[in-house]
Amino acid sequence: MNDELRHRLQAWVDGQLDAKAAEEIARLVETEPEARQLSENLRQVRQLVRSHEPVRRVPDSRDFYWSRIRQGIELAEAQAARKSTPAPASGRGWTWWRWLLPVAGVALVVVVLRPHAPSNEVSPPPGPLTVAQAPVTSNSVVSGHEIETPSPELTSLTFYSAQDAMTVVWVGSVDML
Amino acid sequence: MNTRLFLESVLALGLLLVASRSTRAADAEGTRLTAQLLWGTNGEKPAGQDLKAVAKDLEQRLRRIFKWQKYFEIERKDFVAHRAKPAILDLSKECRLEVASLGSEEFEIQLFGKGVLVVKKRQRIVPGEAVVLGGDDKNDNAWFVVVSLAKGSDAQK
Repeated sequence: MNDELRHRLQAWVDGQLDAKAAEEIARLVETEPEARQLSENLRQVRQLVRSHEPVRRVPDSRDFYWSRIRQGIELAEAQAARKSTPAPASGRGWTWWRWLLPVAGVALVVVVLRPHAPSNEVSPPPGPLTVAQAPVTSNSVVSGHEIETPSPELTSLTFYSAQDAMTVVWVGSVDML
Repeated sequence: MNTRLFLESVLALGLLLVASRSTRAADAEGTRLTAQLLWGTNGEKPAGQDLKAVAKDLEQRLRRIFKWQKYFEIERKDFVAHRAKPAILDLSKECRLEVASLGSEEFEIQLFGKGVLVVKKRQRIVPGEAVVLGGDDKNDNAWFVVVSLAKGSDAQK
């Protein structure tokens, strides 16, 4: 018996032949003792394998077991999808750029639209003035505009005349001429 | 590369550069100011001294504030105040003035008498306004240093 015939006989035992081929092999088995013996052996082996196949039990329930497999597959597919999409050009560098844009915009607005410093807010004394006014200490802050007279012998007096649009600082007796 | 993000970044940086350059250009040009050393008296003009008359409007303003009726100009200097470096003026043998721009029409004015710092003042000076530093001189007279924006000068160009 050649190998081709043995394979066909095995397929006949497993019920995998069409009707016409199965009829041919059946006739052969009836007429040929070797074919009959082989088919008997194959049937016994099949029975032994089926009856003594070890039962493998999974620790989890069927649903849970298959759901974990499904999750693993979905995770693998997601990772594959992430790797396949093109990443930004400089990775962390572009994140730094994304922060720079709003900061640059705010800085630009501040530079262009910054308000002017407030004007001198010394409240003008009423009417014309003589020089003598309330004395001030040598380091006095007048409405946000700091004035200093570093010399301890000097005191300065500061006032603002709105009428004359003048800020006056009187320092007393100093030889300037 | 994210083209849109790149273009936005370039635009933002370009605008920043333009703004900073215009600020630096303005600082580089500085602000034109005028400093005058004046002498105030109720007496007569001293003979033999080269004293010029003070502008009428300035004299009127000083008269309204101070008791002296006559004012004479001893020295007048036009200068440019920069942010980076103060302008240094010698208005007389004893009087030195230093003015630095702080930006936004604000200035730091330092007056030295005989090399000693007499007064240091930060002041905003706008067109039409003046800072007057003054003190007593001999014989009940007075000296004044008047700092104002030069005619035709904006605070920053």
